[in-house]
Formats: sequence, C-alpha cells, structure tokens
Amino acid sequence: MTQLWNQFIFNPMLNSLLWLYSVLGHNFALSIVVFTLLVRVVTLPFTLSQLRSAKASQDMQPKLAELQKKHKGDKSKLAEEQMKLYKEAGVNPLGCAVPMLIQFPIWIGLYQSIINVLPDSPVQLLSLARHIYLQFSHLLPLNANFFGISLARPFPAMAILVVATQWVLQKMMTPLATTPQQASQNQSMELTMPLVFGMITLNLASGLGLYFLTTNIASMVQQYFVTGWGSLLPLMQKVGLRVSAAGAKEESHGRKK
Amino acid sequence: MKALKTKIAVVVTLSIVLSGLTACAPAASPTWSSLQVEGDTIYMGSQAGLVFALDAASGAEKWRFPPAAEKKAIGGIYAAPVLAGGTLYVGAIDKYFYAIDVNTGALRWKFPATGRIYAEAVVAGGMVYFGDGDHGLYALDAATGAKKWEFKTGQGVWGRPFVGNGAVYFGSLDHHVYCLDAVSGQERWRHKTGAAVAGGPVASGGLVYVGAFDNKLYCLNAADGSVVREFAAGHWVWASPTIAEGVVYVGSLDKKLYAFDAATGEPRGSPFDAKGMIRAASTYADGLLYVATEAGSVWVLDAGTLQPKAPPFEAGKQLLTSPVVSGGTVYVSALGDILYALNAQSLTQVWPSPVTPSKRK
Repeated sequence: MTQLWNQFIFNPMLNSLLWLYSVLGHNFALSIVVFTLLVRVVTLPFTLSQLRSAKASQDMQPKLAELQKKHKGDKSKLAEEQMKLYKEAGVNPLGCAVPMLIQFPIWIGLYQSIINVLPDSPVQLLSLARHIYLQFSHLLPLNANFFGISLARPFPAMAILVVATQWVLQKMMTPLATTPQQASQNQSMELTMPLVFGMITLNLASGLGLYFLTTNIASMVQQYFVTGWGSLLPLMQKVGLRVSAAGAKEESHGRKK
Repeated sequence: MKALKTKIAVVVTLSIVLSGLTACAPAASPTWSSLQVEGDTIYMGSQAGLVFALDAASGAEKWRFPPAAEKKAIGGIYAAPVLAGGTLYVGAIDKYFYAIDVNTGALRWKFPATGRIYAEAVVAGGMVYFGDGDHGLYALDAATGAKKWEFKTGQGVWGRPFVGNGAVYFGSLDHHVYCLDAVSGQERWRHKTGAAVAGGPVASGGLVYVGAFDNKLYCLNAADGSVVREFAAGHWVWASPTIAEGVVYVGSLDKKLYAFDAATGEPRGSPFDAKGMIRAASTYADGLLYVATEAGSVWVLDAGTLQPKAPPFEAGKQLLTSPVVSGGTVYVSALGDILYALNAQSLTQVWPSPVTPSKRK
C-alpha cells in the first residue's frame, strides 16, 4: 500500500515540486505557491461541486427543520421525506463528502511533498533519497530562504498569518446563525480550526505554513464567488467596510431563508 | 446535547486529520549514533542527547555525559565521539561542541557553533576541526576550546574533514570540495562538484577521494583540486571511501559496494550487491571488509574478491553508521541507539542481546 502511494501520488508530486523549483529560478517559496495553486486548479471541479452542495444543503436547512418537527416520532417517515426533499431540490446528500474524499489524497500528497523536500537533518535527507528522481539531485539542498527566514524551520510569524487567514476563511464558510445554539457551534468551529493549523505551523517547517497560507487565500477567493462573505459580513459591516453587492446579496439571501 | 455532539465530532475529525498530517512528516528527532572504540571502552553518542562510555566486553555503562544525577541531556548526537589526549570530542544538534574528560565523563569545555553539528571531528596538531551543519568549518584549540579560525561555506558541512600534509579537506552541501591551510584556515583550492557533498573525503598518495549526490566518486589532485578521475555509481555516494592495500572501496545508496585500484582507477571485479543502501563508510580489518546497510544487514566480505565470508547479520533496524572492529569484535549501532556486538568472523552476536544505553536509567 505504501509502495503504491509513493509510486503514484507522493513521488510524482514531490518531483513535480522539484521540477517547478528548477524552472522558477530556484525560488522555493514561489514554487510552493505555484504548486499549491496548480493543484487547486486541477481539483477545482471537485471543490466547486463540494461548495455548491454545501450551500444547497444550507439553503435546505429550514425545510429539513420543518420536516424534523413534523415527523418527530417517526424516523422512517422522516428519512423518506428528507430523501424526497433532497431529490426535489436536486441535491445529493453525499455531494459534499465525495469531492472532499477524492481531494483528500491529493492534499495529503501535497503536504507530504512540501514537508519532505526540505530536509533539515541527515535522517530526513536520507528519507528524501528514497523518493527523489535522480535527475533532480543536483537541486539539493533547496534554497529555502524566504525574506530572510528559512522555510525549512518553524517561524512564528507564519503561524500568525495562517491563524488569521484560517479564521477569516472559517468565518466565510460558516452561514449566519439563526439560533443561539447554532451561533455557539459556529464559534467553537471558527476558533478550533485556526488554532489547530496555527499549532501545526508553529511546530513544523514554515514552508508548510506558506502552503496553508496560499491554500487559505485561494479558498477565500473560491468561497467568495460561491457563497459570499458568510458570517464575516456582519463583522465587516460593523467595522464600516463597504461590501460588494455580490457578497451582500448572497448573505441577505441566506438570511431570508 | 446536539452542540456537545457537534463539538465531539469536530474534535474527533481534527484528531484524525492531525494524526494523518503528523504521520506524513519526516521524523525530526532520530539521529544515527556513530561509535568509537578505544581499548576496552566503546564511546557512543545517542539521539537522547547523552554520550556513553560502555564496557566493550559486556556493554555495561562506565559513565555518561551529562551525568545521570543531573537528569538532563544535550542535543541529539550523530557524530562518533573522537578520543585524543585523554579528551573525548563530540558535537551535537544543540549547536554545541563538547570536550569531555575521558576518565570521569566531566565536561572540560564547550563551544557554541552557528548551526547543528552532524559531523565527526578530527584532532590534529593540537587543533580540533569540525563541520558546522549550517555553513562552514571550525578549528579550535583542542586544549581550551578557543576558536583559532572559522571558514564559511555556502551550505552546511555534514561530513568528517580529513587533515593531512598541513591541509584540511572537506566537502559541503554547497556543491564544493575545499582545501584549506590547516593552521591559518586560508583557502588553497576549491573544486565544484555536480551536486551536494555530504560525506567526508579521504586523502591518500597525493589524491583526495570524495563522493557526491551526482552519483560520483571524485578523485582529485590533493595539490590543486583538479580532477584526476571520476567513478560513476547508480545513486548518491554519501559514504566516505575506505582505502586499504591499494584499493579504494566505496558504497552507494544504489546498494552496491564498489572497489577500484587506487593507482590506476580500474574496477576490482564486479560491485557487491549489499541489498540495502550503503550510507556509511565500510571498515577494513585484516583482509576483511565490513559493510552496514540501511536495510539492517551487516556483511563481512573478503576485501580481495568482495565475496561474503559469512551469512550477513540481520539487525532488522536501519544501520546508517560505520561498523567498528576491535579485538575480534564488530560493533555497530542501529537507528534508535541500539548497539550490537558481533563476532568479526562469523557475525554471530557476542552479547546475549543488543544494548540500548539511552533506555537505561
């Protein structure tokens, strides 16, 4: 299994990253950004399908809540009615999970590539020797310098940037809460995710942090065009930011529902 | 209740994601701990950040540094401790180079380097030379630890320097082999290789041999660094070469051990297939060659024919350091600070079981 994973996912991705490094003027930071964006472009159909399914499911929540109320004691009837509702709306209840599952190995491979291509010790370098295509050996060690910091080592400022962008992204991904209970759930999610990614960045190579940062910014752009500002909207209005018609429209739509 | 369930689901999902991500990251802490054997004592660093003096006959601990009573450790150690004039010299990944009294295990002095130290030191002419894992080479007064000079390179020096004929030869990850004046640190020459040089060079008969990650073993003129010959392997040449009886032996990550005539450069028979990456230098003793592999095997070969003299010893753990032969016994350490003592002829275990000194209290 490990061999198959290495041969078909990890090794090709790691060496693609090295190839990018060789053609992008030996700039590893730029290589990570371009590599991450390229992978996002490849997985864009899955991402959009996932985002649209998520939004459709959100839009159906009031109707689903009505059904739950109506068929409180009858589970089989409730399931039947829910399926009918999904069918009528043209929404696949697993529409969100399937694209995510397909993308998951790609993201793990990407993560693995970035973390392994910057060996910071002899043991790590030996591990890289097992996966590198030998025509790229002359590129080692990579120039990990990024504005004076080494992308091979942890850097606190990178962790702060990752936490900040992850928090904004979580806000955008979260629909406006309609009940205090939902607001509490949203809040815990909005804090947990950024802190988890912040902790990872703080403890591993900051090159990985750059990957998280690029991913977050790309996700924010995608999220804006599919679902708008999400829970970020009230906050932006509070601080007096002018919000584009698209973002505001999406949100007011979501709230009316 | 629903909120609680959601929180539990979030925590479980994040735990799974985190476990997955952590498993993908290369292990940062393991080190390969090289050995030195002098008389009846084995000196060994450890990934636990302790230096041990062990009884060569039994593996029993004589002393450790820092002492057990202090309940502390220095950084993990890759390099073999080097013994000279009653002092043991070793660098660690905590960026300090240590001089330890070999009789008591007490600290004599320590020197702060710029980067982590991975390479074994060399003591010669009252000076101690060692590579800096980030960039460069240091020369210190062996008695006091005072810095004599420092030479900066573009990348780290991960291999043991070679000192001879008033010069210091070493390779760097910056794709160069350097030759400096041993006393002043002035550069005499540098040679550009096709890739990083992580292993240490060996000089003999006016020639310097050093491997590189462009799959080559370079043979350079010791006087001016010009290329005399090059040998091609199938993967990186990380191991230092071993020169004995007019033959140059070198292992490669392509799992093969090569032998060349030192005078002519002609191959000596077919390479030996060790069935595992050869990361460290082979050891020559009494017409026999000992080879350790990343696949966990120790081989004993006839140095003339490169044919095995006994079935290999299988440690089942990665062996990334050179075997050390002393008094009819071969000592070799595996990743995880596990030390094996084998009969030099049969490769059967001499001790009842391998020893892991860092796990003893």
